[in-house]
Amino acid sequence: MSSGYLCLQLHAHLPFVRHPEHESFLEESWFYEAIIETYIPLLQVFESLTADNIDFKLTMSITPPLAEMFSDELLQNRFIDKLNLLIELSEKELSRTKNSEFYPIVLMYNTKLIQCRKVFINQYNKNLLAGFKYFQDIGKLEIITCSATHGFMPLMSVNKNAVNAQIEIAVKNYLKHFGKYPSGMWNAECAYYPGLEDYLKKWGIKYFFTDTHGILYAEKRPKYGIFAPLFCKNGVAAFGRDVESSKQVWSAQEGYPGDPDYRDFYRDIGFDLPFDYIEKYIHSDGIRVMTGLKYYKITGRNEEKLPYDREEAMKKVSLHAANFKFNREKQVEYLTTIMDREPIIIAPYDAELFGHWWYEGPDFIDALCREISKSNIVKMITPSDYLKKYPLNQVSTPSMSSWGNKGYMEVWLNGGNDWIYRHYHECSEKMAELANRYPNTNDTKVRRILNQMARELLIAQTSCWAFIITTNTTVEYAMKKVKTHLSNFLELYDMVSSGNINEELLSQCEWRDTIFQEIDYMAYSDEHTYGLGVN
Amino acid sequence: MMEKEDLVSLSISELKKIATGIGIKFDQKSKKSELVEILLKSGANIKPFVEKTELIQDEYSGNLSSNNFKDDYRPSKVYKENSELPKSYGKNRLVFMIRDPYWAFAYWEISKEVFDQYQLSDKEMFIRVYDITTTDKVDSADSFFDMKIDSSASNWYIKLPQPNRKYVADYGFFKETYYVSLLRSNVVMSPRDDISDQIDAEWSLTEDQFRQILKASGADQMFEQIGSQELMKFLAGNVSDNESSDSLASPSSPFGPLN
Repeated sequence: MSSGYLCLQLHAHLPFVRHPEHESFLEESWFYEAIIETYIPLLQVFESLTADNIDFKLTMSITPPLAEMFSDELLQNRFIDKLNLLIELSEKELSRTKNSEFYPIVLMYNTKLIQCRKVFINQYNKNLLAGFKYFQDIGKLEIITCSATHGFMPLMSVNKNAVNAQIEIAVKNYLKHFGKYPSGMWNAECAYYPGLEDYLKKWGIKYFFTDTHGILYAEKRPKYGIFAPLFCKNGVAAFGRDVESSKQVWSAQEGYPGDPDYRDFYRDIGFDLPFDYIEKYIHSDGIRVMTGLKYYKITGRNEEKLPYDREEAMKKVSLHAANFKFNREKQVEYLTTIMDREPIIIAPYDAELFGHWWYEGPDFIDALCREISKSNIVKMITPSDYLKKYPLNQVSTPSMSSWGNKGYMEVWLNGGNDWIYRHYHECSEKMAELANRYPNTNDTKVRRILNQMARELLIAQTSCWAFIITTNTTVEYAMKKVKTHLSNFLELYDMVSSGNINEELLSQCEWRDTIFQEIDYMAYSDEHTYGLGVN
Repeated sequence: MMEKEDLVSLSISELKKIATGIGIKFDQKSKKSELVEILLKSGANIKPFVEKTELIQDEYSGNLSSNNFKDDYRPSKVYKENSELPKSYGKNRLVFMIRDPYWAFAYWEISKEVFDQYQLSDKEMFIRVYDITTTDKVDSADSFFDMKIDSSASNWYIKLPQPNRKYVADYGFFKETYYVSLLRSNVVMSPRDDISDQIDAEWSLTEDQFRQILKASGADQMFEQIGSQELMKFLAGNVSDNESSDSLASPSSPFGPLN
């Protein structure tokens, strides 16, 4: 009888966006929407599976910036305000659509939103991390970390101290939130370069992931292709992404999310309804934005969109979950004939795909876990458990790679964003310089400045900014983030160098850019980086 | 002027360099005696070949110490909301970055002092890229090539001759036939673009078996864009086949799945 494993890895990440200086801020809504559409629905799925005694195991990376936002009081309270407004809107909509075909859909949203508020406030006390931690503690979830601010490591590699800091700060932040050290790391953008494993090992990380070609193009031919991990020379394991399971979900042509019965992303009442009706619920500047209330199904290209039918959509979910399981079983059955050990199929996805982009995504995960629990051929597993089963693996350094378009660095290094790197590198050097000059300083002022400098640099280094510039979405905001945080960094640096401390600027920065309250700038010192980055 | 005895004492590669420097053609397979002959016969004023390096930045290691104390510190009263970043930092450095198996990106800075000292405004600048895969040393590089750079440029995309090689770059100019290096970059390693032919004895398969594993691993489907960008385009433009995939505007979750 054949047997193999599926590792579903959900990568949950948002850049640290927090603007206390504005009453409401457009880009903060990325976080609020994700809570309503992805994070809470996922927690509800885990709950339901657990209550029904379904044997499931998922891997999930929660990036440090996201973890920080989950536990931020300002954002928690703003979320509740936003949620209340949305509930109010859904109630108005209930009246408006009472006699129309849209009523059941609106009712669905209204019910879910009210549930969402209950879960957020009553069940998890406004901090969803408690929920994810709970499922980890009972063995259903393995939560792993990511570089401190989702920094794109291959392009940072020239500054050893900066690479060390991203890993060290991430690991310590994980400890703060989850009470233990992480075993695994999801590298931002699945980006790896030979040598990164030294930093990972130093901070106790036992495994990471690469894209398919990261494993297939490894230094020595991988005996099991992507169906077993490789060890780097220092023993840190690398797991490669499976193409087939990726295609079934991500593919624009063949992927499940594009099914005509699924809810359409773009027809939102924020754009469809009259301005004076919707005004209160969109952006305070009067810009029309998504509300999350969308009433149509995808239907098809070049066709007029039909109203969403929840029942039909859920039928498709069952179909697709069964189909996914069936394909994994076939895959495992075949692999068993050409492998002399049980294969592991790595299926990583952005968490936000499930729920935010693909509305029925969380339902799919629920259905899938149930399907797989009934299978005799494929079981769910985490990388840690697989390594326990198979502690002996081939040693072969993976190839430099990422899961970005074209497989390498181009998305983050091209004509639109290459100007950023000289500034990243310069600031990284300056940070290391001061960390070395003031090791573990007792001077409170200097300590405050150095810690804040680290925060500014880290926020600026989020790979999202370079990505956004390439995908041409909120380019202005992304550029502003890079320039603002690096400019503040440089000002703070000058303060230390010259001795003229501008308390007001320092306080402003501390008040706004609050990520990593526990930060220790020494992560940038040569002392902490000792022995790393030596080829 | 070098005499016969001087020439004979040099190595073949040094003689070749001198010949190249003067512009004398020779057969790559020439013996030392033949090279000496050619040089003497040329009647040229033979000078010893000297590769001048006047390195200001000796192999960038990512840790330049900065002497950036500002005399004219201006107290800033506001959070730097809309500031532009400095055009340069007054350093002398060259940084080399790998983009993929075939392309690298280099950026550099030359301080005003150095610029004036070497009168670079009059000069044509060149980047020299060395392949140091086997030797690890610039002096005995496997090979090198030069690229002419616009004088106004401060960065450049460089096509690499081969994947899976170790490179380092210099920034400089030519003084007669000598290349004067001013900056030296960090070392980079370009990734491979194919499956390795190195096999682990304890982890080996037959060719046939390995081919099956590769196929199952999706080796023929790699780089087919299967990621969130494609899906997002589809969900967005899900209206017609002719939609412009560039203007993927989603005001509320612009980057969505980060891929």
